[in-house]
Amino acid sequence: MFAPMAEPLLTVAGLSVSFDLADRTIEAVRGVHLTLEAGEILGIVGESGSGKSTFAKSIVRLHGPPFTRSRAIIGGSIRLATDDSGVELVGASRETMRNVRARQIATVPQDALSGLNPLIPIGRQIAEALRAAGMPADRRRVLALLEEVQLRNAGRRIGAFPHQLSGGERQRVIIAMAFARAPRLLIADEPTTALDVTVQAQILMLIERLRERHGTAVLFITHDLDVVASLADRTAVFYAGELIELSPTRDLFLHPRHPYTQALLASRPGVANGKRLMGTAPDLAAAAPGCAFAPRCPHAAPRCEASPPPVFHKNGFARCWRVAA
Amino acid sequence: MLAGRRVIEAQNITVHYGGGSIRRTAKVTALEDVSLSVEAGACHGLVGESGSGKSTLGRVLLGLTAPNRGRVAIAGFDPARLARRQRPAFCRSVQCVFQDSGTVLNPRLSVGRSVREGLDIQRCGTRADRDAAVAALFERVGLSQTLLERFPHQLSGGQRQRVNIARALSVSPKVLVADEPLSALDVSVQAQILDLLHGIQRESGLTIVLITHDLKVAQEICDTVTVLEAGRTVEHGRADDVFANPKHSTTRRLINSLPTPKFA
Repeated sequence: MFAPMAEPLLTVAGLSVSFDLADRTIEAVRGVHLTLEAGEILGIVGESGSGKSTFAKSIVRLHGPPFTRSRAIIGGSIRLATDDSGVELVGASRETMRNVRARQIATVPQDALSGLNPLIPIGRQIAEALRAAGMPADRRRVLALLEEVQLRNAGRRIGAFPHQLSGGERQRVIIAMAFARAPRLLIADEPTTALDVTVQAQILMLIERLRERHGTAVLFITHDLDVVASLADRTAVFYAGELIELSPTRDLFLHPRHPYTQALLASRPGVANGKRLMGTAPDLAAAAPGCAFAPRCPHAAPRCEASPPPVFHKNGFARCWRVAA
Repeated sequence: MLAGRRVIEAQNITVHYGGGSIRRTAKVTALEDVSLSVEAGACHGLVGESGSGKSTLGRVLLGLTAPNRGRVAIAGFDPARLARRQRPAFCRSVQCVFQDSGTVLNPRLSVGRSVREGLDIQRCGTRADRDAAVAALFERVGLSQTLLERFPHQLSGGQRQRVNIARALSVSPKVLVADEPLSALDVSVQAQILDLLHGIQRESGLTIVLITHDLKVAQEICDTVTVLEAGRTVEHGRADDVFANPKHSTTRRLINSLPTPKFA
């Protein structure tokens, strides 16, 4: 582990992301506050539509055209600490964002095919990542990176196209591109969801190695709670666009505070007689005044639906009336 | 469970892909001498990594892929040698649910209509009877009646998978082959669909073949399992035994690859 710097690597304050659709506005992320220390692995969990991916993409601004149909409106602040003073990412120029994506923040998408250019051999794509980060990009370096991520027969496959590799191998190539620039932050959005357990274990090991080797912090987004438990230092739980609980991973799994976290943990396969999470996540276009989880919550009281719950702090936080009491 | 009565019996199944004489493609052996027997009312898991042949075996059971060698008997049919007039009866007895809930539904039909289609084809009762049956199926799989007129793209992945299960159950099959039915879904929705499948299996005596790469899912609902690797059976038996005392190195490797908490 790395000693925390004076300033956290990433400071997110009051972040909101909304999308204007033809007939309504979707508030995909609402008022998120969190910090990430250098070298820390933060797990982000939640159901589909909880805003976890939108949150992560807003950091590198990977939504809005051409990535999504409608424009994203981002409010609040995302500060990234750099060697010189730091940079505000909300409202930053395209030039700044380009630079941040090339040198500071790497991303690993769920579907590695969408992260690779299908028309360019993988070796050239890694060389491109090296050049963008301002590093020399000769064959020897590219090969060293492919060997670092343990691509089998790297020497013969440096000229292969993405479709000639398996899903796990493509994910290794993407991670090699991350290794290439020794980023401060890696955003991994469901990187192992499509992979076999055995391959998943190897990819998770590579991500840990990236952290050890370069002190890279990781935002690890997944809906697989067991993966988070095996990897993350702290875990954040998203529900209906809000960050509802954030705790050290051990505390979150052994003593979940928020009723939603409790229900989510009980829904894991293999948990006998768990009080399963019923119903479905709420419509993000129709925000309720109170707690978004109240309609599905087994402990809901009148005050829960009337006003938003306070935030309870102690070694992490949970956004719930019951926890605050 | 009705011990002893076997509803699926597959013997020495071998499947090759490719190896064509015109476009000299490389010959791939997807399954090699695999046998399987499943008792009526049981949930049998086919587990293994990508490329282990588990989906091919599912396709053979469904009659979608003809084996190069070997024989299958499923609910009294041989899916590779179905006479044309047997097909409706076979489709009533053996149904399937696939991973990708979006692409298997006709995008131009309302989901209620998709569920009714099987009943229409099988000419079950009057139109009113069939509509009532569809409403009852929606109820059974936990879908609101207000969704009957919606189109597939207007539903979530979990809702669509419930529609697929309703469609599969509409003809009251004896066997359901479910190929990674949970993989694209959230944990909470996975749990709901698992409970749904489990409940249906218990109350109607349905036999389920569950194809999954998720050992935890297999462990939770399967009575018996077959572990496949590179087209061969490496281990099979009662699920509790196989997961508690894995005998083959592949099974052990799969179990050891499951993420374990840092703080255990």
